[in-house]
Amino acid sequence: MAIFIYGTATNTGKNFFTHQDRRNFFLRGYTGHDGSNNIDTWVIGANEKGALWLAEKSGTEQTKAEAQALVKAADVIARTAWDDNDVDDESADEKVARLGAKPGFITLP
Amino acid sequence: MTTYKNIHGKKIKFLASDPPATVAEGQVWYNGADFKTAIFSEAWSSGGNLNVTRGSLSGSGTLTAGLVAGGTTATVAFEDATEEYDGTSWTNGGNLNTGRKLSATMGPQTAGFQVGGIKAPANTASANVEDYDGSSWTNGTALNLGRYALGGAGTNSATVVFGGNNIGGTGTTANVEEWNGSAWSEVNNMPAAILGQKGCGVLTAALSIGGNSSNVTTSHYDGTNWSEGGNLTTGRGNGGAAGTLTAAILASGSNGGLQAATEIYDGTSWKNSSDVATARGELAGSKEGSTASMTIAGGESPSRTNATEEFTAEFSVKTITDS
Repeated sequence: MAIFIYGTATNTGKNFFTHQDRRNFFLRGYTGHDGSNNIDTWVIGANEKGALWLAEKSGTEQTKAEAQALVKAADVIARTAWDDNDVDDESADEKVARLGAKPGFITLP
Repeated sequence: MTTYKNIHGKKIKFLASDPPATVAEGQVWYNGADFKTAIFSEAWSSGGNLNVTRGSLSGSGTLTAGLVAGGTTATVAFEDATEEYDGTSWTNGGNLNTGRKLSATMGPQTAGFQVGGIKAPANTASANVEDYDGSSWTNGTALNLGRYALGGAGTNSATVVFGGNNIGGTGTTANVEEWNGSAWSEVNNMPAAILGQKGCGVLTAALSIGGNSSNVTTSHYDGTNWSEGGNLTTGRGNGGAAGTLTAAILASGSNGGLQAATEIYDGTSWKNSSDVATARGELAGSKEGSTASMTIAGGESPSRTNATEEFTAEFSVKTITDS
């Protein structure tokens, strides 16, 4: 049996997930990108309450590979933005100090 | 048929009404209809989304009276927008006089105090100080040393700021300055030069927590001297901190990879708590919050997010079922 469900659902804000939801099932959110817009991408514990939560949020279940592709696309955008954020005469170390380390690629569990 | 007493060696109490959850944690009882227990749980739930999606912002206030200001967006390098949180939704407040990112913000929503950061032009280390009264920002006395990614603790009348980076000048610094309500003065340095650490507490009982890139250290400040505290389990910078020297919380942050971990400090050591849902760096935390109640908002995940999460710790009575 799968450990996780993968899906997309727009985070609508307050009570999108509750304290009780977090006790009922594993939930981890990631920024994905579909080529046009950011897509809220979720890894959800594969139990009845987790599956119901995704359905109640009008979410769309994804395969792990599909979810990973969305997150990777967002990572690429963030990495490109980091590369393009330069200041004249700034050393590599100074850039890391200013921006933090270049974003890495996130691997979904 | 076996009984509960045969299995556990004691009977279950009959209680006509449920006791308060705060005093019954871990107890099991029967109330004539159901078997009951009381539990303690800590978890992050979603809060209202920010109006302005941004990273590198800073925050203060509490879960029900929060404050964020500044940061960077897809179109604005040095944001001046301010938002106020009421526990449900964010409302736009008065704009900063000088847009900047990676500042330190202290104080409650109606007496905010924002210090330092990076500003235009050309990523200048900012010495700017601004006071917020719940509706508008007023320029204050500038820091002696401009810096970004600094730590800070206290209020608008008694503040300590520490570390950070003075771009193009002294670089990452151990320099510490105190504000007494009328002037800044340089005081004893931190144990090490550091940036990206988070501060909380008050001027005479402050914490410096973590730092870039995977710093695990906690330093205590008593208003005069610095001393070593307990190490984080997950070293990181640019997370969200709240609380006091003896009851602090650090959420999320980055150490090269985004961290979802939350840790709680008792003045001596850190223990793990519930993870945030969306790991992020360069976020805003409600610095005046506590180990039972705080928010994080915005940040880089690694794309900029407008998501808010609320941390709550609660006792509750639960009915025991077979599933």
